[in-house]
Amino acid sequence: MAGDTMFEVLSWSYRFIYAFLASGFTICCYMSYYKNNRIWRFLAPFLNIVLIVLNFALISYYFEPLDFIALYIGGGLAVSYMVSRLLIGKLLKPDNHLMLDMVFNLLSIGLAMLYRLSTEYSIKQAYFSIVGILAFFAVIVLMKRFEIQYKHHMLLGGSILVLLLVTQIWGTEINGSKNWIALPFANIQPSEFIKLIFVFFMACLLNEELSLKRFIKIAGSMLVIVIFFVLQRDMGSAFLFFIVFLVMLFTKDIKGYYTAASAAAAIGGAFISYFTFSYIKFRVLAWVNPWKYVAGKSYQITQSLFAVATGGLIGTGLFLGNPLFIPAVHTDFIFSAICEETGILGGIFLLTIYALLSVIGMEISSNCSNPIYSTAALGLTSLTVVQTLVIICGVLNIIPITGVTLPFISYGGSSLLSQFLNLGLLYYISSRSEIRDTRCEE
Amino acid sequence: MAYCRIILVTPVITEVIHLKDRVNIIKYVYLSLFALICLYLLYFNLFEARVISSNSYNRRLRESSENVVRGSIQDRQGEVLVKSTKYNSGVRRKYIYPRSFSHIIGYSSKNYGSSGLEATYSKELMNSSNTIEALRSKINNYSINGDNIMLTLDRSLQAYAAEQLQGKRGAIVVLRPDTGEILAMVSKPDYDPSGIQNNWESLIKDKKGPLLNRATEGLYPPGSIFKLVVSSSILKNNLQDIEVECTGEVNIGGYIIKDSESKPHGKITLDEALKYSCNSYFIKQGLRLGNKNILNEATRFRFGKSIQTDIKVSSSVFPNKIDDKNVAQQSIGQGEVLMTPMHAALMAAAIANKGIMMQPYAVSSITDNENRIIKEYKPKQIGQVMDSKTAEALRDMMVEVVNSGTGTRAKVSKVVVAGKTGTAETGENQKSHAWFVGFAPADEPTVAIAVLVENGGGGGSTAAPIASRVLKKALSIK
Repeated sequence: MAGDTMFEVLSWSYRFIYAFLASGFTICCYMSYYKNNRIWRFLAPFLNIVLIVLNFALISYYFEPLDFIALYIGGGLAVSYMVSRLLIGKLLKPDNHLMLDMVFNLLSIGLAMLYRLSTEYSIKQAYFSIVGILAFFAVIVLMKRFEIQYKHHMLLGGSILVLLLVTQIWGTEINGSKNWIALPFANIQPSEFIKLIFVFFMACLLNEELSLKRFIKIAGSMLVIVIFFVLQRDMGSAFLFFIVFLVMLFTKDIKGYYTAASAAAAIGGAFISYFTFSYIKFRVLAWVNPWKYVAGKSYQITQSLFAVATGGLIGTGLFLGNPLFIPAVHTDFIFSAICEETGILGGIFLLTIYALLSVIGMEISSNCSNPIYSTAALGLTSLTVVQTLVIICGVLNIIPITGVTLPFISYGGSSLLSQFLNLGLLYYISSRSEIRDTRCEE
Repeated sequence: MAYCRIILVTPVITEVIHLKDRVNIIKYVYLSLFALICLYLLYFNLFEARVISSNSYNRRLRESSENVVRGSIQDRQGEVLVKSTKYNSGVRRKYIYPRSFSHIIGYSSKNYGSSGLEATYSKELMNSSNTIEALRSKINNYSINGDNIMLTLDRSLQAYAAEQLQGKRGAIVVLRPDTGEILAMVSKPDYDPSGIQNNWESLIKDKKGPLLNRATEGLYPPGSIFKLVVSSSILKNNLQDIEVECTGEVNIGGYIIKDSESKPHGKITLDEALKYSCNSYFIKQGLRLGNKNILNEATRFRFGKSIQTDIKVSSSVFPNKIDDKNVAQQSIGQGEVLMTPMHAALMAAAIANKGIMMQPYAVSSITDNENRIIKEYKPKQIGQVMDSKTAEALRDMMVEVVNSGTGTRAKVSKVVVAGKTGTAETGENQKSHAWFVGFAPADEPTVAIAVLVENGGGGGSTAAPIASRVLKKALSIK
């Protein structure tokens, strides 16, 4: 480890530089979204690259001698970022690269923070990122050749069922949830991929007029999915799917009765499961009064609160806090680690970036004329947004903690891959709306 | 053809507009949720982070203590009470007056966490606000000197008060009524904070509970000092001039409550009743007022509510029970009514301060290692618990209590003292708890006091003389 004191001074001072650059990047993103002119469009990726380079340079300096792996990851990230920007320009000709800028910003923060927490995880996550970026382009190419229509809903629903059954039968238990499948080369989490299929499945079903009969069909399939998740003790997914389902239903449900009924059913279900499943009760109790169980069931959440409370406004500086005191910090609780070392300002930058991603996603949904794709864009965006809100509120103890990942930041191959696929699908849908616009002008 | 097109297009358009509206609604819901979390983070940082990070389960406090010379703690005259010195082998924290300040200052231990002000101000004591100094110490690998805290307490008064409770179990709280500054806060039995590392096991096993801060966390039946609350309600409802017959005991459906020594007081009004602490009078008036009035008054006096201060104060309890037996008991501060000595002192201080209760505080300022003031704490009001006329009337009656009533042993020469005694029954075959609350000088109060002696016997005979001595000493300090 490097000459401690010199590094400490550097990291301590870098907090200010980071806060300055990150706020600059955030402002650039918002400006280029609302005033799409050339300066902002250039400045955003420029600041992004500067941030990537500086973050990883600092990390590399921490280790003695200079850690080249950190430099490779930083460099690789910067290069793949530029290449992706060029490629997507060729492939879809989007009018800006804002989503890609923001996603790479999140990705770089995630990789940097993971490297700080555990080198091993960060290196793995870097490989996952490469796979993710490739999948991102692959799904765009694939979607260009394949038009999803109502008739595909049986195929989509069937594949969801198969994946759920496979998990139920061959699934292995990791961290208390039986939602993993162990393959020779990796453990994968099918629910991450079911998410995307689910969004298109629901988008197809909701495309037809919403009669009672149809609603029963939709609600029935929703119920089957939720029951599977509950059996696999994956409350995070059950909750996430249901909220996204409600949001999608809400946009198609003229009078709102069906949405209200579903929400009521969900609340009822939540009550029942509170009394039926001890692990849910456990989490609710830990949430209601964390300080009472500070040494027991609330250990994780209180450690997270300590981290956030210690960080203050601009944080302790990278490597100068103690985020490793929090169990599972690299997956569920990475937001607390970021808040400890870059301060709540660092947390707020992330929140504003996720907020802009949600605005852009909703815009894509509004601009798309094909109802199936429009609803799908809404669902895809909601997946990211709801997941972000759920985990951030969870680690701040605003709601009980549910184990979902922070998109593009938390460690996890399946989750990262699924988020890149999600991004690819959104990019594809946004390009569709453009094709339609030009056609209309003709 | 055109007609056909309209029919075909119309539903599509309505659907699209309808959908767009909904999507917009969801967009704004998402945006506001993100904004709310940002606001919550700011709120958390401003108002909650302090308390949370000073929790003794926060391992960071111990992790960083290795490289830090914890700041010193000084009394209101600037006298050092606690300081840390760096030796080659590490940092040693020295408690110069270990026993007299054990609960208010508390301990700070690597293995057993921290308590008292050492816990509340851990963050300040371990961090330097002197940025240049902090940076320099990092570069040179010196240890950091944490900030110092200045107390509102007076060392000599604290030691004197502690002496008065020597060998007893109990608590004394001395406050400035107009600011809420805590001048002294003693809890006995005490412990030596520097020996916490070696004596932990025996301390937590000790049945006398030396680690408990009785002044803030001890809940006791207030007994007759609660009559001040009932008196305030009587005055408010204009019942003070009603004559009540005292025969020495009251019978409530077979349940008999006696006056002390079963002495009948005859026909009396409020001022006489308070002066001699007549149980019959307060029970009868209490039943007349009813549970609702007394509960309201107690709530206004902050029973059942939390009191914000530098260290944790338990909430006093007033149960909501409406049957005559309970109302009768509660009117004389018995039954399930419970109060902390800190709260009792605040009650006296509020009467002294024209009905305004001030928030108690023990830390007046924080200074960095070059003695520059980083932060100063200003007095804050809890609120107006009674109007100034009621407060004045209560004060006059309390003066009589000390002058020629149950509290004559609280007199201080050349000063008019106002006060109220309390003798709280604790059960069969146990000596009562002795209470005294009061303030002085009566016309322009500068100190308010609460004295509690566990199983000390009569308030007038045990607590009042202690209060007299402590008040005399307290009146001499600046």
